[in-house]
Amino acid sequence: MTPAHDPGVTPSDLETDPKLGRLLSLRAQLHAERVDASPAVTRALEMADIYVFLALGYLGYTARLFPEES
Amino acid sequence: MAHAEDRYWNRGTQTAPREVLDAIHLKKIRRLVALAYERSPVHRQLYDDAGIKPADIRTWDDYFYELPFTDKPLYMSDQNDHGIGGLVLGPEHWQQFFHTTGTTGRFLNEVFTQYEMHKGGSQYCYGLWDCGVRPSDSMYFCFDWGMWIGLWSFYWGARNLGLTVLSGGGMSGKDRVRQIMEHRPTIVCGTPTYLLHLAELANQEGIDIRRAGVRMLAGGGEAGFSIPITRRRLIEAWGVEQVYDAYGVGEALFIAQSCREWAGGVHVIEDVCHSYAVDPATGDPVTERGGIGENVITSYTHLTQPFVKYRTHDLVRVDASPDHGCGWTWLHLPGSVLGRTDFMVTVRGVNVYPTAVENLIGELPGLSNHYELHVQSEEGMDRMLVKVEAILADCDRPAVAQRLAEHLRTHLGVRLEVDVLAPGTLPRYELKTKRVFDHRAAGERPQLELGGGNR
Repeated sequence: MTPAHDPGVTPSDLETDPKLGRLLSLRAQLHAERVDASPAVTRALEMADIYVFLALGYLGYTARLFPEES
Repeated sequence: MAHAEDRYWNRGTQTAPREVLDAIHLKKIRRLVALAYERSPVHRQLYDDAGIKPADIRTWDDYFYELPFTDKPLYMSDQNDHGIGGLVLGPEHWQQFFHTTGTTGRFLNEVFTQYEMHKGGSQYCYGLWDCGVRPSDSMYFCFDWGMWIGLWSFYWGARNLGLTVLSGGGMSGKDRVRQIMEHRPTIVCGTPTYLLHLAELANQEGIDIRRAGVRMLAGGGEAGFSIPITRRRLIEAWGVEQVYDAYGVGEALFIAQSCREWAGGVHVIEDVCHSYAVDPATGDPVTERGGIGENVITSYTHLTQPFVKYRTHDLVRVDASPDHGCGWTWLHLPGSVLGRTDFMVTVRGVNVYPTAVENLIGELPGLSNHYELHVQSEEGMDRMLVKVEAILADCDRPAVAQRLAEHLRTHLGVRLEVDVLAPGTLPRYELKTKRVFDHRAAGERPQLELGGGNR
């Protein structure tokens, strides 16, 4: 999932707050790294995703309500 | 590293204009209604019965006047059938299981994901950070880590903020006093009644708890942290600089917190929930500034079991434009929880709020903070008996009772019955103290139904 593929995020959202776009990219990267990862690494990345999602929430992100919704 | 010099935990939303906040709320609510409809059979049934589809909820009027309320019986009914009410996420996502305190008669089972526990913990950071709490601080927990979520969520708050956690689990009160004296935490967390009890214990042991260097008392579960006289007692007994109040709803955790400028209440943490007050008789929003109504919430924290337009039955006074100098734009609830819609007592035409009685008891010398309110009905009229302990065993209890009855009559406008008891008569509690005993039969209690079609 990249910012461009997040249906709830519009280009104007990203213009208003560039940090939102960067965090969404980071989240997409965390998801991508789960491919072919060990259970240990996968779980660690899931935990990292939880924290990134918290940060998105602080920025007023509303396209999703919780990480598992993706 | 967090910007330690910024007084706001999340300035972007914490000080945002109302229209910005409301736009974010409406987006989240619409998404949550859709989620509940898609994944929770009990919510789908509720909305289908009301003839509502998620796409119908587009405006605030749709939310206020068309979307049905939810209430505890809805979840209890589903819990009876499926173990947990209103579920949208299965056990592969669950991180921890809790239940409510059962204050209203039965436990409501609750499950939270890892994300929800962190999000629930974040609810504390706004107020604690504003009060100057930083990762170099430490928090001591005076509870036994049972199934009640209340102080567990404080623990997640401590984790979220980066505090050092000190556990007082499994300890006697005296052991806790000794630990506090030894480890010198900057914050001690518990219910107000229990923290006063610990100070009493320390005193009995000849220990001056004020020398522990505790800077802040924090907690919730009871109204005491919002009651001026109880706050003063706590400050005097512990020698602390700050008393931190948090208002919790078991289903959505501690949804409101006090700010540094404490103005007699708590701010709704609008990053984690939407809150508004309704007239319990009609279900319509209370719009006048300072008006009292039932708090109705939508939680953005507890999503495994969505609580959308959920009746808390707590009576609150809402100030949508707080101006006491903190800069927060989030709703302020002066007095925190004033009472309960399911515990409304009208004595000779006067609404009597338990928090008001507690404050008035505290204003009279010679009385302890240990009290109980007993309500019964005689010939259709509510009567309230106030039982309160004297501080000294050899005081003239009938005379003190007379003074208290007069004090209550002067300030409440109605005479309550008063019984002053010997010290140590009433039970002590570690968690929520049971203050209110309603002896009225079910048919004698006020039945408040929210008016309107879908409401």
